[in-house]
Amino acid sequence: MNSISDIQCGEQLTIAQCAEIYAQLLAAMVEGQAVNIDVSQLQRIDSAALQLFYSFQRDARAQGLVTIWSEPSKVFCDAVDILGMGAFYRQNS
Amino acid sequence: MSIDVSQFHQVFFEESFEGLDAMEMGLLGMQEGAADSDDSETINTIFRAAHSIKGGAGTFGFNQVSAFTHGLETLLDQMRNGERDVSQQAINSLLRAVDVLREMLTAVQQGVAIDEDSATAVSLEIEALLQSGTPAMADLETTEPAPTQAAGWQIHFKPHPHLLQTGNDPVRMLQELAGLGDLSVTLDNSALPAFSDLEPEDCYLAWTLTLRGDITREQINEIFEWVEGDCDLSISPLEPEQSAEVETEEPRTEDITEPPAPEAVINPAAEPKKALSETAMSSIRVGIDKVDSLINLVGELVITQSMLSQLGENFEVSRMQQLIDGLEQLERNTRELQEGIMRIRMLPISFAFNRFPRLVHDLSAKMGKQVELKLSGEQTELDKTVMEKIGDPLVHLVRNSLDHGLETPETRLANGKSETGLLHLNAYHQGGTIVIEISDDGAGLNEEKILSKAIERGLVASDDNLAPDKIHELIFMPGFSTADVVSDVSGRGVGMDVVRKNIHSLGGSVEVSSRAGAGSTFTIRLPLTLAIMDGQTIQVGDQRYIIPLISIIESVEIKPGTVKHVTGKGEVYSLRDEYLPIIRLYELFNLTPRSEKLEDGLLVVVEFEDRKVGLLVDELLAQQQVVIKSLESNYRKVTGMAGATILGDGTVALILDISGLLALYRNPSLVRTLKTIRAA
Repeated sequence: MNSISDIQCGEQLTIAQCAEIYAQLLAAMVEGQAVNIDVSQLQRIDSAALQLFYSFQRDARAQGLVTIWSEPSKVFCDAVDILGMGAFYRQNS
Repeated sequence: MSIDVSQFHQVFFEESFEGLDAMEMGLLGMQEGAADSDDSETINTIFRAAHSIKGGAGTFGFNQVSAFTHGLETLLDQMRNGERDVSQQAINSLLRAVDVLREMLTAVQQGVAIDEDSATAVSLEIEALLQSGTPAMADLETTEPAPTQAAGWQIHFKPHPHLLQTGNDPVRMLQELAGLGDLSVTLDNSALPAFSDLEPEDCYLAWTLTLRGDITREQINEIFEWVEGDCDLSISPLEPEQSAEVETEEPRTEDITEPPAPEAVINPAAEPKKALSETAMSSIRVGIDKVDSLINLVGELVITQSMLSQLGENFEVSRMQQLIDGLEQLERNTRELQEGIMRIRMLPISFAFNRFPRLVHDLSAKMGKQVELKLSGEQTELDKTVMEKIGDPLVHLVRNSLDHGLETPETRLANGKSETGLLHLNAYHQGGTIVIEISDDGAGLNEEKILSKAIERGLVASDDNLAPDKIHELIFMPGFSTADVVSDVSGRGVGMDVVRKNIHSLGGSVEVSSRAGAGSTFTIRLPLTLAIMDGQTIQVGDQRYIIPLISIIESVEIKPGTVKHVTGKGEVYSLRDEYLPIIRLYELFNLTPRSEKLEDGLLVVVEFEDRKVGLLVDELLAQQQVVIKSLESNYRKVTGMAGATILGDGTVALILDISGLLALYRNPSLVRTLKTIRAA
């Protein structure tokens, strides 16, 4: 069993990919794995994906699971800020 | 990959015209100052129609249309948000805007230039309303100073769970808001479930947004306009800052410019420009149930066809009964298919009736009359082509009833009637025809006046003792008008004869009944379709012809001694108390009859515009429904012939046009032309 689960987001992450990412994240959470989410290449992300990550991060944090956000792209950071999630991510990453 | 959007233009135009009809109906139904729930729903409907037109026009690059719609959309938005009272002035301006939009869309559809003058005039009118207007009382209390002067806005935005699935994205919307001013965002995650319970495509988040800056409400509305109905949204102005308050403390009454009186802006006599070209493709919307039933019928036809072809492969005389059954089934299938296809062209007459509430509203206001319009039988179905052609005659009759029939409130009161006159449009099916009645409870036809006018114009002799219904019929004579003053509503004297002519050209008839002081009723009878008609097949020489059944009064055998020869006028037949000219069809068509003796033939009495003639034929054959094929499009127009049809045995029969035959009879030079054609 890998101790870290890698999630590749690619350049675009929208509601169309959410079900797949959700399944990967849920599996990692059930397994108690640390998760590395690669958002470095993201050029487009929508509210459904941001809500998914937000919900995961909140519960993962509560369960003491480690989430690594690798080199977040500017697009990702701006989108997080515009939805008012910036402070939440900056609390403790 | 690029998409050719022009393929969607037709749908856009159809939907936009429907939207405009809905807007018009809604506006006419709205009461000044009323703010009950019915009206707010109506305003919403009107707003949505305007909004769709604006969106569609923008998408397709019809920028003049979308720019024009923007102004009225803003006005409607203020009305539905309760920021503006619904004034009669605003309703009238919006109605004019609907007219302009309709003209604009027609111009765009036909690829001709948009009449910018009328668009600009109405735009200015709407603009003036927006700048001054009558803000709602509630608004005065809570949102002074004017909303656009607020220091900023507080927005609560709670998407409904399905919002993300509609393609709308709060990220994009909030980014647009941030582009307007200084935006601070507070996320509300209280509805967000545990990750394991999350439905990734549902939206659980909500936001409270504070947007500071010189921003109008319209700018914010525009950002949220596509999620209307998919979220809970409240937008309220922030408390203004002290400095702003000082600036806006003065009442702004001085700034208010009265919107110009509508008449000052729009020339009321200006008629919408007539379509310059008729090239726009016509289309029809068909209910899916009608299409499904056609598909079923075609399926049955295919089964019958395969059964018959199987039978044909190994045919024996012993299977004759099966063949007969099969052919009967084929006949049934064909008839049902024909009926099904004819039904596709049928539209409810409400398409023609819908224009009248507006017409009556405008004209009654113009003439200072109070009129209640009652529509019934709107669901009666009629062929689309007939519907398109009956529109103008109907408008004329309605205008006529309003102008000549219904009296002013004072006159009505003086005559012991209620102030409000009743105009009733009714439609129903009767046999194979549709009957449309236009009745009013006005003064009725003035028989004395009609008679004296007819005598003055030499239409009747002063000593003619006409029955009342014959006097009423005089109004259909060319050049007849009894209006004391020629108004721009009706009364130019070119009306009723044209109405009758147009109705006749559709194969229909119009008649009037009237009672002095109680009102008049115009009754129009029309065939349900122009593609098929009931005809009487006749034999003349070796040829068969079809006479439209609707024109035939009766058929008689000619008895010796009933025909007289009149010098210069040919033969006349004495039928009861009338003398009918006899037209020997074989002479007209240059044929050899079975017999030239009148007693050997039959006289078919036909009527056109109150003139009866007898057509001499060799024999009457079957009465049948015939499918009309146009001579004009397949050959050329031939006077006296309405078209042709193919008979059961495959031969072609010409369909007689009674009005044309009368013209031939009166003008022998035309007969020579006809004979030349035959010879060719």
